Amino acid sequence: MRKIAFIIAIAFVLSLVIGLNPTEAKEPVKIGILCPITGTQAVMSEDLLTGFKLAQEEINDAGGILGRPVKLIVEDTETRPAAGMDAARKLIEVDKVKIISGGFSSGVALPIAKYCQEHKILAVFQPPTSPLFRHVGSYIFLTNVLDNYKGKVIADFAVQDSGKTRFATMFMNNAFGKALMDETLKNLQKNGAQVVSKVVYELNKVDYKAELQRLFSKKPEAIIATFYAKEGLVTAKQAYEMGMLDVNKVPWYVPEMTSSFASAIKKIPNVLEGIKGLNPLPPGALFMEKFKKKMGREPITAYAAMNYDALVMIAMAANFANSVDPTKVRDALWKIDDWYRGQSTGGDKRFDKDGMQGYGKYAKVIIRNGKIVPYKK
Amino acid sequence: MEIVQIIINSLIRASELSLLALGLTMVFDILKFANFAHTDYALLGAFLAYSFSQALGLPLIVSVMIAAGLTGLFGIGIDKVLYKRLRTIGVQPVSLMIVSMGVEIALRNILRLIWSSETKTYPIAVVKPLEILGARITMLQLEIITVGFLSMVAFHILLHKTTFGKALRAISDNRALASACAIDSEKMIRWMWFIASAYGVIGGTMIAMEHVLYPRLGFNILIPVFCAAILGGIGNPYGAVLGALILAFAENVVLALDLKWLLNLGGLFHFESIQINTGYKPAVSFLILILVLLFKPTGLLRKE
Repeated sequence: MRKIAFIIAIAFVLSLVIGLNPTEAKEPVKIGILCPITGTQAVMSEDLLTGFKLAQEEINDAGGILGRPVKLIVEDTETRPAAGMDAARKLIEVDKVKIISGGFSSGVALPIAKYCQEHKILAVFQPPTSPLFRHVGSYIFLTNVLDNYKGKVIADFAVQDSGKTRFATMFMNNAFGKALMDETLKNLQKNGAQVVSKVVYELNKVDYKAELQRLFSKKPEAIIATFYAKEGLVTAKQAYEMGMLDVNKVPWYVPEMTSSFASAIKKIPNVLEGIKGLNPLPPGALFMEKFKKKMGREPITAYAAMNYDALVMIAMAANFANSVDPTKVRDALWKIDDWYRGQSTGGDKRFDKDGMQGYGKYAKVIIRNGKIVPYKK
Repeated sequence: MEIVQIIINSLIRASELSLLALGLTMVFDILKFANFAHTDYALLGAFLAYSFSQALGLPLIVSVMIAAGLTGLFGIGIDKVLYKRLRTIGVQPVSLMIVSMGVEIALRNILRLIWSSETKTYPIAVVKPLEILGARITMLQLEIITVGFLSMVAFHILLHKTTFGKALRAISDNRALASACAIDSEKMIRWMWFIASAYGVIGGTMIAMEHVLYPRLGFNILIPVFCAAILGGIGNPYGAVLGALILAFAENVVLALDLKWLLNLGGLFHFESIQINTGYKPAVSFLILILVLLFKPTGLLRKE
């Protein structure tokens, strides 16, 4: 008996020396993933999950986190705040994850961010972009660029490109829409433009004709509007049928082109012809190649690459910190971001003091022949 | 021009809502409970019609008719499996309502399981609209208004010009007395489920044709449908139509109204434009509903 106890003790000491815990040697590091598998943005979920899976495969092939494989636990946010909170609670309380990623849309991810901060759970979100994330706390990071930049870029782009001064705007009634609208309005004014009609709409409705009527009620010369995929499809169809999508008369500018028209471009591409807007910069060549190899097609959204970057950065930070403790991983994120060259938003993934991306670069795009292509005047 | 457009938009919305509200109100009238799964029955039919037209290549109108028939049978089936048994053991209507909530959740998730949550559209081309008095309307929207109107006329004839309609009204008024007069109330209830579900399918399909189709659509239109039925007086089929009309016009008119003429107080102030924030659109319907119920708690057309 003493002999067996002695052997176990020696094995335990040896395992500590060589950095392997016998009980945890192969226990995976669980990372919670929040994804809109259903709901208004479901059309993008395959791409979003593929971004994570590509990173997971790479990390595990390279030895995982501290020698442990990465396990992704995916939960559906239904693109709704309440369902998103339920999913986050399940990940944190039941699955006991200490690190969360994904989150799609500011409206869904903002309450989750507050919950994570309270519970000291590290959350690296993308693609949420609301500036409100800046003030949530030190456990919250974003790998997408904030709306402060996007609001300015779309306002500058719309005014300079169209040469118009009477604008009408249409944004959804949630954290993302509100923040983007505020920044856009502020910057339209700075550009000397007048906003004649501001429409705020509710998500998940089936009829937006009254909102569109209001949008055009004061005879605007140009429109700035953003949607989620389902609302983009319904609104584009109804706007076309009401004769409001003649971009030669009244041009439309959309701050989030792919996100707004991911469904519409599949179903009614001819209706969208000539709409201009912004997209995140396209993913890096390395990511595109991997994605195409895995899926046999190009990603429909650059957000897939942001998810890839988020997971890779989490793994690098954990290895750098030599720990999966969320506080230590958090501190390490600020150290590895300087030398990590990402595959999204142009590659620069440096976080500012609040864990936000400090740079705002976007691709100007236009819909031509049913495709979103780069735009040059 | 704007007024004509508002009228057209309101009529389209009312046509879609009224067929759904009609089925809801029929069930309430006869079984005295609000069927929360009603709009999901409609959506089941809309998905079936989608599949028949896409997978089997059937013409859309044929697909909708088959789907309406099948959903009608589904309504009867659910009644036989659930509600009839509960009625037989004397379960209160409020419990039936809660059971219907369970059916709604289950059905919504079954729809998601079968058809996935991806947004779908019927194979109807998006075309340039016609212009009527400066307002725009598509052929599909004209058809929606026509089908809505004809369906209501057909329902009126069914209810008032046929023996079947008389029997249906009899069991609505007094089931025990109707049974004493040799009316097979269970048979009539089965027919009621069939008609309510089939009408729902026509309404649900029209909404999905004009907009998009996805599993949560039924849940998303549940509140306006309830609102229309309650506003008109739940249990009264004509009330359902009136409620749908009021709701549709309220949504469209209130957002278009400019209140500057009212709030400038005859020149005292000089507001350039005062319009209700579009974010409050859903609240408008409820405000009207609350006001109506305050003064007429049974709804507009239901007797005390």
